[in-house]
Amino acid sequence: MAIKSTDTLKEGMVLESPIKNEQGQVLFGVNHVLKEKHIDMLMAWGIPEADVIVEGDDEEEQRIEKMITIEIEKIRPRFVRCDLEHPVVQETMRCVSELTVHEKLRKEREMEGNP
Amino acid sequence: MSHISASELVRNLPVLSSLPAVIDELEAALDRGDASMTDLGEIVKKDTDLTARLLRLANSSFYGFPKGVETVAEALSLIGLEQMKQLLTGSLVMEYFENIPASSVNMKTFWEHSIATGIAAKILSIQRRATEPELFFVSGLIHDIGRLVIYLKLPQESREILETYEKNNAVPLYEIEKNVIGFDHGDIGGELLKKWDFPIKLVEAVKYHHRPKYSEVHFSEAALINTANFVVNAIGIGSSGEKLVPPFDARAWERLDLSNAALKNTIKETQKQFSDVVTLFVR
Repeated sequence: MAIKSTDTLKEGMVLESPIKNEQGQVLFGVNHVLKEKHIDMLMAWGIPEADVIVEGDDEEEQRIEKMITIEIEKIRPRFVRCDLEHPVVQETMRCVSELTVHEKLRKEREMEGNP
Repeated sequence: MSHISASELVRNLPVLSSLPAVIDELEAALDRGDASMTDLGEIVKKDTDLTARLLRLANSSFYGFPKGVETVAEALSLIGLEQMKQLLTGSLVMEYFENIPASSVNMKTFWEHSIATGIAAKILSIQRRATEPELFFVSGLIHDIGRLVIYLKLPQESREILETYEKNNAVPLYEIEKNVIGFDHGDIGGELLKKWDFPIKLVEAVKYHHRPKYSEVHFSEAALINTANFVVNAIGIGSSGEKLVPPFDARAWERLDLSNAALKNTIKETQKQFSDVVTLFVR
């Protein structure tokens, strides 16, 4: 968890908690991937900060990246009927693998008593 | 190859059960034009099952309303009668196919796949700013029902299809269906929904979900269900029999005119909403 002020948000950052307006309405939900225009909208709406997922230090990031690469290779045979060179297929495989890895990491943290 | 057509196959299937009686009462009250939301809520309360379902639905991540919905009137006003009817119709279709022999298909994983496809379809439709996300949910929910008709009405051919697929799953199941019976589960689903007077865009979305380019009028709807089916197979939620991800249809995806970020969002939201929504539809 990392609370970052809106002006330091970057495209591609993923929300750890929903962003709500003053009336409590959810503007962007958990796991929403911020795009440049969303950040512009948050600035325009006067939302001061957002809780985004931070992958940790470089070593941890490298470990996660390696896990994602392994996971992609694991699921690749299921995509044999798809054009594996197509960017959307590659994006899908990566996203599905990220979900699996983040779920594994969540379970790891739970086992360590640190949810 | 079977000598029966898709329309002949569904001709003798019984009609779908009617929606609960209170729906007629609600529509009559709305037609009179003098009913308040509270009055409508009182009508819904006559059906305890419907009341419970409506409140659970309104408070689920399917809608993601920020505050808890406590009254039937509030739930009804937030969801809308037409949308509620569409979702109930989806439930009726599920109940219709309750007694399929377990040897042909694992119904639990079948409906898990179907519900997840409904969720993905709804999320894609919302990102396309479609006006009827519930209709897309129902399209996704029932997109593979043709497969259940095959298991129900053509047991011998079903065995042949499944045995052929078991030996060589490089060929998609829907292609094997076509080779064995002359048409695929999309054609059958389309005919069944036509028989039940479902809206034509839903009929076409189901009929052409494996070949959206053949849908002349409702290509976008068929393309959306095709993409939702691809997403859910990619995530691996449930299964309607296929073990591999279906071919990615780039033309269908381009038709939706969505960004890669929208696709990622669909994958993540589908995964997130699934466990909550599945309890609303599977008893």
